[in-house]
Amino acid sequence: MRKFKTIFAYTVLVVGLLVMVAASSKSFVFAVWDWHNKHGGDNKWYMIYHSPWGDLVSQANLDNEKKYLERKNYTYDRPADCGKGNVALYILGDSYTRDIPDSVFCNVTSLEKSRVTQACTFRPKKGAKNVLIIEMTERYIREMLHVTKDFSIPPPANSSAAGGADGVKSYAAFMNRNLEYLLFHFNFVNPIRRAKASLGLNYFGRGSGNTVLSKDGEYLFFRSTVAPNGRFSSYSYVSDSEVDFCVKKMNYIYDHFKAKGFDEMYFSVIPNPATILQPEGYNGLIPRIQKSAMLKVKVFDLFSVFSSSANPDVLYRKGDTHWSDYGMHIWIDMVNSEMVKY
Amino acid sequence: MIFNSIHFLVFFIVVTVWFFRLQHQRSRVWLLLLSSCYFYMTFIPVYILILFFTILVDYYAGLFLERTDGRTRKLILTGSIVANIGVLVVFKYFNFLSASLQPALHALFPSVHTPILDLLLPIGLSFHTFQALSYTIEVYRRKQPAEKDIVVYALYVMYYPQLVAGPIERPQNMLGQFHEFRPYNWNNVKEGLLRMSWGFFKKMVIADRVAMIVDHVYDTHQQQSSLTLGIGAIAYSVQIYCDFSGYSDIAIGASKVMGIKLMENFRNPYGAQGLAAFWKRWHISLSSWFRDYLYIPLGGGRRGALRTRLNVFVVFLVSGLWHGANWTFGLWGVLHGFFVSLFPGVKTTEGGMPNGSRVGAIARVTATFLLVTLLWIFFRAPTIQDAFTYIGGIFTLNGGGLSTGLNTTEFLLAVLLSILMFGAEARIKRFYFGSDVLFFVTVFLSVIVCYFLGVVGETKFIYFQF
Repeated sequence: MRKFKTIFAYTVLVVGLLVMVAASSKSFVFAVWDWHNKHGGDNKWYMIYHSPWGDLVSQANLDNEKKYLERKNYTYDRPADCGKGNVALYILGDSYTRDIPDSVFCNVTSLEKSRVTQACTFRPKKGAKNVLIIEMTERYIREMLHVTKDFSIPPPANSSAAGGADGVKSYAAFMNRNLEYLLFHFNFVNPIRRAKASLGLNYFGRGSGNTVLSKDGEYLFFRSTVAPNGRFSSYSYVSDSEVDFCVKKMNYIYDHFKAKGFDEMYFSVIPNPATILQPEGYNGLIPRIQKSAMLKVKVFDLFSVFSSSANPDVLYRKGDTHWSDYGMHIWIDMVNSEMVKY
Repeated sequence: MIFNSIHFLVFFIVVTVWFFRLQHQRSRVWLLLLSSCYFYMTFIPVYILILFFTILVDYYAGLFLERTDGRTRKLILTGSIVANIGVLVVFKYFNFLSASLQPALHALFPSVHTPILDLLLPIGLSFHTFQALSYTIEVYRRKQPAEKDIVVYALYVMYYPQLVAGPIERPQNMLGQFHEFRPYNWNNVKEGLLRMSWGFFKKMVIADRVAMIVDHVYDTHQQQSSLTLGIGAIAYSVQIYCDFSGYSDIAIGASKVMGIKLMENFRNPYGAQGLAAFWKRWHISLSSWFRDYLYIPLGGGRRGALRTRLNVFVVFLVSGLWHGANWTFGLWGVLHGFFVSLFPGVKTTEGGMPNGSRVGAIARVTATFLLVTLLWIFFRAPTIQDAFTYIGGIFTLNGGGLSTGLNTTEFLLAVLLSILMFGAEARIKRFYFGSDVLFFVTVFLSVIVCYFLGVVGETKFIYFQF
């Protein structure tokens, strides 16, 4: 018995340490994720990660998850007559623009993409018309404009509290997400997850974890985008001074890149799905920024097009935080209508 | 890393199992110190340098305090206090003081702007600063010999279960335990794990559920009825108790598993018959810290009634600002000071039972709870103006329905669980399982309840911000 206890203790110790080390490695977790996607499935003991079918579906753990599954399939046929100009296009964006196929823009001879959260390494090309697009989702725009140092701009004086809390939380979230993925991302755990989600939905009328159902039950939303407070929410209070700050920061970023030699720069804020699909109580962040008299940077006004759409149900994927193929087409058309001018 | 996370559970299992595999106390101390460093560095890694700085200052201050006499000792103590409080002022209070001075300065010199530092507040700074201060003060008072082993001293400041939110320990309680080798004891493990389970239940099942009511009511307080505002205020009393005492239970339990005993931090505070009694039962480690290191040195109750009241007032003002660099906390402290000095409390018999009738006792407990609840509004509201608007909303007796942010089933569940928790709280801490089977069944059920009824997420503990 004593020997068994010793072996058990050392096994727990070694496995625990290995799991901690593995979870702290982004590349290791990504490799596991990649392997799961290639080899996992409903009939295996390890789950396939649902991201291609909807990044919120696997978090919601709903019995009727098939209702929300939609395969990610972004394609775009570039019009034949859309020019052969000499535009070097740079997109500083996030997962929305990362998914866009490379050869869809008119007049563009070279395209570079980078994450808006990373340091910007774009250098304007000589002899080309250098156009920069900064794309951000609505839920991150206040955060990004407050704390980002990626544009070589000093952060504002009041950034520390918000940035600090989120910086701390993001590392904790990173480790917890990875540990949960490595330890519990198995099909045999699903009945337990679903039981909890069903309890929450059927008795408490709310979704599970970070996911909530839209009021009509047709979409999944990130909880933080529909919360009554917080910087990610479409419904939290936004003061006029906060809007002014965002505008000033956008102007500052515009001046910064113009001074670096970019010929033109655009901002594009992608509305939260809740903003468009559940507009009652919307705080108006995007239109208030875009209508500001102080704003001097050009914008791709996706909010106006989406919010006036006769059929908003087709703009976003049902179980995902991202736009649908159709929604993406609208944005690319909008960009191309500007690119053809060069 | 926060306690209610998978990260902590894996960390706790690894550290505890490793701890018991080590056969020398020196190795255990090193293990606990290094794990505590890792624990702290998961928040903001570079801030560990601040801890190292204060540890070095206080360690050497302790050694010199022991060797010297006369004025030199006072100078050393002053140096240690200035270093510790200095760090606290720079990181926690500088921007607050600067912003508070700005209007006055601006009126006199319109072009002058007070500086704002772009610094993040180190997690638990107020807690470990006070713990470090208690060491140098105790050595100065010759009530504690200076710790010769810097690793042990560093562990005293950084011991992970109580590093970020207490209990604020005294050197007499901790240093000896770090020198003593404690063999594996199954009863300690059982007691510790049960205490942790209870803490997780209070935090995940009650505090984080009730937090949804509180957040909803405070975020929309201007549109809410008096009934809703009253419920929201009571809900915050429940939330902050379950959140903070839940944290303390987990800390005490995690430490107990390894055989290291931490002090109790709560003793049924909402059962107190008067505000003074409440403070003897709420956050005991902080209250006793202020009593020993501020109230008594100021003269305590030895210099007449007026001076005593003034001392009480000062202590509560400082205690309020200790919680946060915001005038809401200051006013919360002042109001507590005002009521404590005005109504010092009910005299009790030696056994702790109050004199007087049972009805009278219930009335006093109720009145104290309602007063504490009302004062918590200043603690929770983002601004003083919001707090007054909230309180005004309660007393204007606005009609309207109840809007809690939860559906009826979940609201009733929250109420029921809170009542059950308060009913069981006093007994459960003393509960001991002789039977292993009963112990395993209880822990298993706790895990089930915490998972299925718990609000699972990364919700921080309220007191982490201090």
